[in-house]
Amino acid sequence: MAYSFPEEVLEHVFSFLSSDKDRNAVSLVCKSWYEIERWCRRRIFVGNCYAVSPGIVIRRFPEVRAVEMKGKPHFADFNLVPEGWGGYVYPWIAAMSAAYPLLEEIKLKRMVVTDECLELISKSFKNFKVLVLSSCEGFTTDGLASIAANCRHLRELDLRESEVEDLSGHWLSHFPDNCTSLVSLNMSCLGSEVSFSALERLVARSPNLRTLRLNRAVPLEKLANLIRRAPQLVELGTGAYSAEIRSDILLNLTEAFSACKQLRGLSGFWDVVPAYLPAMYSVCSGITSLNLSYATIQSSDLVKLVTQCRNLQRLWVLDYIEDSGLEALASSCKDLQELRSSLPILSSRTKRVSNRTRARLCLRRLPQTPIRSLFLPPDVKLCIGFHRKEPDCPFGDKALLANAAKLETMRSLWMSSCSVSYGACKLLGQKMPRLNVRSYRRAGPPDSRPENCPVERLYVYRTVAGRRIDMPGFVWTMDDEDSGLRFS
Amino acid sequence: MVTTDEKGPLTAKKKSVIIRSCDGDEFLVSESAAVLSTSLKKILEEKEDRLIHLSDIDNKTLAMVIAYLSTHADDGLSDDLKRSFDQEFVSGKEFDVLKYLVLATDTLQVTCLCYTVAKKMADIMKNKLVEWVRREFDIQNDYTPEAEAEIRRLDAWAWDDRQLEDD
Repeated sequence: MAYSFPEEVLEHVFSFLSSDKDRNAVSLVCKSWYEIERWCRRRIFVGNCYAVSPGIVIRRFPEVRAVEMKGKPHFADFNLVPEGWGGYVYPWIAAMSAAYPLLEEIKLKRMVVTDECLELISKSFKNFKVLVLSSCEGFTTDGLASIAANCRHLRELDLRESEVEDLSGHWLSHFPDNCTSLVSLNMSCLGSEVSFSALERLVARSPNLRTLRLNRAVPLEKLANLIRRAPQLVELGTGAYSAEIRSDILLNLTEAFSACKQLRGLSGFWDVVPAYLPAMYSVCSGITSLNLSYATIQSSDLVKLVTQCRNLQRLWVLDYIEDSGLEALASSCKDLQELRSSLPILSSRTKRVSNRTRARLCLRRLPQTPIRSLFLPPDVKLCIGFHRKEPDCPFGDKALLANAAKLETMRSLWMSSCSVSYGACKLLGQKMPRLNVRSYRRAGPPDSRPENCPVERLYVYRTVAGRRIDMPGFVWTMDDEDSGLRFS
Repeated sequence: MVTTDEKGPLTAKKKSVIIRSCDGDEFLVSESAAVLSTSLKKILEEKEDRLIHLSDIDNKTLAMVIAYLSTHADDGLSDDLKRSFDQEFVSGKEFDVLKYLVLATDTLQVTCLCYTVAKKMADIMKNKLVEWVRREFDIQNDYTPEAEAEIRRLDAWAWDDRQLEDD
């Protein structure tokens, strides 16, 4: 029987395809599907803000509701990307504010976000709900105040690991009294004190609040009052977990915690005073995720804590865990799937845990620490935090040019202290016209240098947007105007 | 031929309608089941005739839709049972069968079934190659090879999938 699919039925089916890969496949089927798909794509993910321009995105997908975007390369986390390099979100926000009045979500990573951007966001999108700024910089609490004051339907405000200039702790009081929609608030990165009464009122009038991550400046004495107002919390990040030891504080806190039956994740614990840890023992059996990466906690206290957390699946610790801690983990936490230590754990210890659990070990290393050897049982998947490309790689001109074609299959390649010459970069730019090659130098334009002079850092990425227009003086592009892969 | 639905023989009190598929088979359906379809409800409100002819729904597909409607019209079944019926209903069905079903539910305006079937179709389409989708939907590729390559490149470079969560 012949049939033809009405547009709305196809849209309905497409709406259940959430991955970009599946949506991309659908748009390749034929021209009419391309049209139907692009008008109903609501979410986009841009892995590199310079790989495409706002204009290209908006022309292709006119009805987007959620945007997720990354700016600087991964190595910005290790201070390898120079100050002022770029990753500015303003051009995107300006374009989207005109094109996407119904935008609801913005998630940014490693981008420069100014107060002006935040104000524009807060005033442009009437139904704005989610703002996640992960490792972003360039804004102050004034920008956050605009978000608080103007986004009436805000559900999530997450500032994880961003660098925020703290001008005032009163930004929280800008949330209007009728704002009751918050589901998640993460302000753990803020340095200074927030207005506690405003915070307390906000928490009290947010019946749907599931995640609350406080900053270090929220003192332990205040924590009990806060969580008493939100017994429905699922994730809690405490502030500083320290106070002068007093039985009334301990009792108050113990009571407050015991009402939080839904708690599944705990984090925070700055400056932890172990004597206060028993206050949360009553919720430990429900905890599946425990992040102690800010807690300098000795092994014996850690053992006491983790043996309470029988259903733990993820544990992040500093390297205070020691053998006894690992053994306690192995015998108490049968469901453990992931253990992250911010310093390397010796292989012998690793083995002991993973033999008895299904631990996926994520060893986050400082970039300077080379991995010499690691022995793991074959069923353990190793996931090293620092992996994409070693930053100080011995990758020279020859290898770079020989692998030029492969570069198009990677989102980006970053090299610093490398032995790649300026001449090779230029050659690469010519050889692969769609690659964007940029090199950095501190002084003098590249033409004034000899071809064999090494570049300081090299960043190669693929792009359909052409040349960057916001390049600082120390970044040089190596290609022609119309190229696609860019080096900087 | 008249096929009775699962409710058994027609009683004097219970109103029924006859629905005829495009290949001529007729189904006796209780009115309470029929009106769960917004389109059938409208037809029944507008005319006296108890015979409804559906010119674009085949026998096999219509039988499935009617089984769904009858189950959902049964007051004796709990919501939980109806939900598990829905799960069972789409599980294991061929993609081709689902295609006709989703079109029938669109024509008959049976919103919840349309949702369930569309979702099941999308589940099957996940991680499939373009060529598979074209074949299953019987669609001719009208792109030139160059145009297709250009879209592929744009899709991979500009709005690519999340590769590494930690990155």
